[in-house]
Amino acid sequence: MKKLILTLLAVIAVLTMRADGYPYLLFKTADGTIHAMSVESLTMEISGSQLVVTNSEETQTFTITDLDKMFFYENTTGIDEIFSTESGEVSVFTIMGIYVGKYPDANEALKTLDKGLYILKTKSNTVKIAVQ
Amino acid sequence: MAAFVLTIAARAQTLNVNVGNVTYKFPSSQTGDMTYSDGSTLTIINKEFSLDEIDGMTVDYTSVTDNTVEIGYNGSTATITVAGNVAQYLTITQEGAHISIAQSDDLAQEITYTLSGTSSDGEFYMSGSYKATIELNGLTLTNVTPVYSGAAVHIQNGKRINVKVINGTTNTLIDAESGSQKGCLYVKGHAEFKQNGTLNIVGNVKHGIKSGEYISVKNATINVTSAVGDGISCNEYFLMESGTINISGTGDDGLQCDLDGDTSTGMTTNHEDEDSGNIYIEGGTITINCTALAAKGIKSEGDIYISEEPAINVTTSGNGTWDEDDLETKAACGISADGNIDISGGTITLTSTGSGGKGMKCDGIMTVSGGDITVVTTGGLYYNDGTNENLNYTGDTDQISNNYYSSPKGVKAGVKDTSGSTTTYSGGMTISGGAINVTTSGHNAEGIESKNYLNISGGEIYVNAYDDGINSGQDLTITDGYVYSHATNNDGMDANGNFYINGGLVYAIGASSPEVALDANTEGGKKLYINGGTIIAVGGIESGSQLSQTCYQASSVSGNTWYSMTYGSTVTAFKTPSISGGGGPGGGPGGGGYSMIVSASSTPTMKSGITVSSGTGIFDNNCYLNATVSGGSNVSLTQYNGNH
Repeated sequence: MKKLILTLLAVIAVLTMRADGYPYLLFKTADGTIHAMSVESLTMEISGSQLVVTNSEETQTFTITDLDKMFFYENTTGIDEIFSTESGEVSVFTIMGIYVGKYPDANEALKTLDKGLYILKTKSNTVKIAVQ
Repeated sequence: MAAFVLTIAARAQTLNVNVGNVTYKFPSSQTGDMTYSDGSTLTIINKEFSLDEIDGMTVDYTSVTDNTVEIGYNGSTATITVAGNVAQYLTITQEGAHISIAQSDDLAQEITYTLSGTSSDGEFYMSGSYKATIELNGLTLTNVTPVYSGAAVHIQNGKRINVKVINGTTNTLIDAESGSQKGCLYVKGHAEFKQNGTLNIVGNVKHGIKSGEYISVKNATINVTSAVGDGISCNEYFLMESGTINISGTGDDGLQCDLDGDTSTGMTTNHEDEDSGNIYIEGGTITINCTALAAKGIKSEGDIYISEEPAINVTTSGNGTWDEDDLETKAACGISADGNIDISGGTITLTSTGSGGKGMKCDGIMTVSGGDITVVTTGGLYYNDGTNENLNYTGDTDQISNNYYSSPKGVKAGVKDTSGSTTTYSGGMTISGGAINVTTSGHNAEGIESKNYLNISGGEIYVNAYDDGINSGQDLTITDGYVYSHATNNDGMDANGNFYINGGLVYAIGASSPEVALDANTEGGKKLYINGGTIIAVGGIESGSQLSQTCYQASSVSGNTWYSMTYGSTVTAFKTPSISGGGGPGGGPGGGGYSMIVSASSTPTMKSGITVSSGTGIFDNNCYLNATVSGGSNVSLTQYNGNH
């Protein structure tokens, strides 16, 4: 009797994807303003009463007494979580302060905006975001 | 069948906070809110930083392993890297390459401290109350100007401390001569040495390695090349499972273990909560060379257990000395236990060359059931009355206090204590297996001595001694085994109690009259009983013996001559040692040769001058069992009645 021997090859393919876990460091000042900065090549120096934050794109200076906290944030597309307690219109400005437009909410703004740095403002929050 | 595994690896960010030479590394996934307060502090995972002390912060993609601290020594400084998750629990201070880290009592996870690099003036000091791991990962550290401790590494932490000598690395620690530390490497708690690296130790003030509690060694190679005190000293117990220990250049003992408290727990299951002062050697290689006065190679306040297959080689060369505290002499010894010694395996080589030096001794019971033991002592009798010292005293020790001399001996067990008119005996010796080879050549040096009973029921014992080959303070009983005991200046075997030979093969050679091959304390009303076994007694036996097994006297005996004794179908061949002086048959020593008494389970015949072609060699091949022999001439044997 013939036997058909089947050999099954197990192929294990390991696909590795890299994702930047927390690409933004956000700074919240006492007035509720949130400033987002990319963590690429980010350094922070304390100069007198100032915290000078520099990354590959910009330098931001904070008065230390105005700082409330800083925290890592996952991505700009999730920026709506910052506004999760709010709803309503978001005003968008370029980093140079040029008005871009109003959007129904933050997510809608992020879907529409081109790559670049923007300031998003709601009634109670201001945040700088990088759209990638 | 195909399986696909999809892995998504996040490129994790790390926030590095630099404070002096310390970098605290906080994984972005752990930081949460990092709060600023009053413009003066920043708190990250409960670690509060004064902003004044922060030199800078960066974010990068370096990895962080939780619960780790890495210290890299570099000349006169050192860099310290701390995992962010434990930063809140650590207080770090630093002066140059002198590092101190205090663990908070709130710490509830084990931290691994990895030390590497080189400094010619540095130290590592860590305190705390939670167990920790110290990794020696290619560390060369010399402490010259102590800041926190004179030790090179000082762990002021009473918990379990893993000391991992990282595989393939060589680490060298040298402590400060100006310090008051207890050890070059000091661990307040219990130290467990692991991994396959090499650790070199120089102890400039006291011990090389000192642990306040137990020490265990597995795999690591530890070389103590110099120590003012002991090479390794610990309390509770010492356990060697494997690895290598080399100790030399010590001012005191090689390896010592003491009780931590006042009362011994004895051996406990898995050594749980044990405080016994015991030493357990179950594997590995130990080589110790002690040169100090009265130094012990391996010394325990409790028992010493040697089992399985360790290789132990101890040499002591120090002479005896006068102990001002105890007002008595002390002498060197290869292995010494205040309690018992139990040997069931291993290869043990002990050499003592100093005056009064011993190979192995215990105050309790010595039990040998296995192993291969070789002991050589060459020192003479040590005398010191507190004023006068004599390294080779040859006077009559019966006329001087026991406190004034130390006799060299191969192996000794038990204690005889005389107080007024009362004498008590404790300890003893039981040999049921293994191979014991003892050679002593110094004045007054006995081969094997038990101050109490001595029972031999197996094994192979081969003794060549200056004084009594084998001596017991009380009864000596042989039921089996192979025993060779040759004394050049006293009895071959001597029982201060009764001497029972019930079995085994006993080959004893005594010195010239009045010494004999087999002696019992007849003067004290004791006797030699020959009830069985195969016996060859060159030099005669104690008169008045009770011989329930018939003994025979050879018509002659010569030195350096091969003999065969045949009884039934059994042929035993043996060679006599070189003997001088001596006597004629029947009258003990004198004339042209010693008397020789033999006995066996059936009537023997004897030949001299034979040639051995095969057999099972014992007694360093001075005897062959089940031998095949040829040639030779008959030796007349006449029944011996027990009296000279």
